[in-house]
Amino acid sequence: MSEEILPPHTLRAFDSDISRIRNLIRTSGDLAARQISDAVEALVRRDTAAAAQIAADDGQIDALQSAVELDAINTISRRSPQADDLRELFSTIKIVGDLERVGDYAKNIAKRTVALAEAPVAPSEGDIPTIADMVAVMVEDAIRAYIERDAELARDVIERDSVVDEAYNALSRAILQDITEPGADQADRIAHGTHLLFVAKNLERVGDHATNIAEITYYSLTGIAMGARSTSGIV
Amino acid sequence: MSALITDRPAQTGSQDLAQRPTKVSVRNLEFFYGKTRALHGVNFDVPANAITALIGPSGCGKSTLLRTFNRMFELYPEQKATGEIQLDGENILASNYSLANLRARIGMVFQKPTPFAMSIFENVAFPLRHYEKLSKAEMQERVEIALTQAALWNEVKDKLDRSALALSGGQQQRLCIARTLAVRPEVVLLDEPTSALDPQSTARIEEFVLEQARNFTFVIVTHNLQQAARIADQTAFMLNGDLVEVGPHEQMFIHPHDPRTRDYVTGRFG
Repeated sequence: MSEEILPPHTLRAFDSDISRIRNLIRTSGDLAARQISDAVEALVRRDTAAAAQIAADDGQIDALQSAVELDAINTISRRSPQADDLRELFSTIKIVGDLERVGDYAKNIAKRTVALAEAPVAPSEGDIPTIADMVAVMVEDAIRAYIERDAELARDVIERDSVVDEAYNALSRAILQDITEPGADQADRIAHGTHLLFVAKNLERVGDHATNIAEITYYSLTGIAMGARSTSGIV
Repeated sequence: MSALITDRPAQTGSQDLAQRPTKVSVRNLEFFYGKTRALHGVNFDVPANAITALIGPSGCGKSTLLRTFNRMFELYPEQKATGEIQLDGENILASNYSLANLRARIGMVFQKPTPFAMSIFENVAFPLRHYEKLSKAEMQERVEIALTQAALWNEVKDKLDRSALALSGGQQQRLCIARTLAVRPEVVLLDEPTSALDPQSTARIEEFVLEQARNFTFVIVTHNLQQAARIADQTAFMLNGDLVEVGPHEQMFIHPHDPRTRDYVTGRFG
């Protein structure tokens, strides 16, 4: 359900400002979601060249964050926004911060792919792409909720976070089980499994950042703060 | 370190506002210019020792509403107000309510500074001579207090006998504020008091209002949305003679309830 479409500003330059910033957010969100998907695909394939490229591309998200922050501050200064506009511009600054963190997690996963280049694929790794898909779609949907001004979609993204937490808990237990199994190769499995635990945690955190984006979007659209979420279900 | 902290507390929020006693209560107020109805059953409360701003597009009735508070309209025979405006529970629109008493309790400052062609001192002393019998020392003290409250004393204390007309526009407006404050009104009405002033003079008057809200109840009409956002504890939005929405800052400027208020404060209006 999309929110009511607001009438244009009397000062039409203000509409251009908001449209331009939304487009930057869309670009940054698309890039961050793709980076997560690509990073996990590179991990599964042990594709170190792709992983290196993903790590190098993180700078694009950082640059977009700076561009949005500067544009939003400039717009706040010029237009003195109030009400819905004020909430939206405040939200943009928060959202690009979350997207920047998503980019960092993609980079982190890419770096671990390089470290895991020679490691065999562990049985527990099978669920990593599943969680990566869940959180990448959460990022995409949270950004879509923001761009399309859809509070219901934002709320839906928020509710998905608990599913990610459960999947993360299950994945962590499976990785721990892999590395605690006695055997001649246990030292290698511990070294590799530790990297995988960090990958799993990174993906769980991407879900948290997507949820943050959905929460600030919900606030931007309704004026109602969603409040602090419990993280007690995460191991 | 704590002794060095001089931050002001945050300006009044909705909870603080709800706890303030009501100073002025407007009930079913209608106003007529001849047969034209300019206010349509306005109801709202002005909290004591707080700043209430009236905003809205030109012709919405905000200045009309302000002028009913001290019965300024009675100067014009074709103008009429019905309903009630209760000042501490007493209806000031009642025919037996003393106009002199009302004007002493509710003062008004206008858009353009209106200094009298007399000395700075006499401008402030003038209403005091009308309302009170004071000794010379008492008069000097009251003039100094009023000029200090209006944040003008330091600039004029050495030239009180000079003509008020020699002051800058911003100083003249603060002099007019001092003249209004001199008789110790409980409510001060400000009708676009800074619309003719530069930003620095505007800031001085806004600072005065914020500083003196502990001593007076302010109602300010302003075309400057940012001014209402900067200083008002409570803001009322008017449109075509109706009071559309009234609430604390966070309601009116962050999350307005009525789409007409939202469209006005975000600049999506007509």
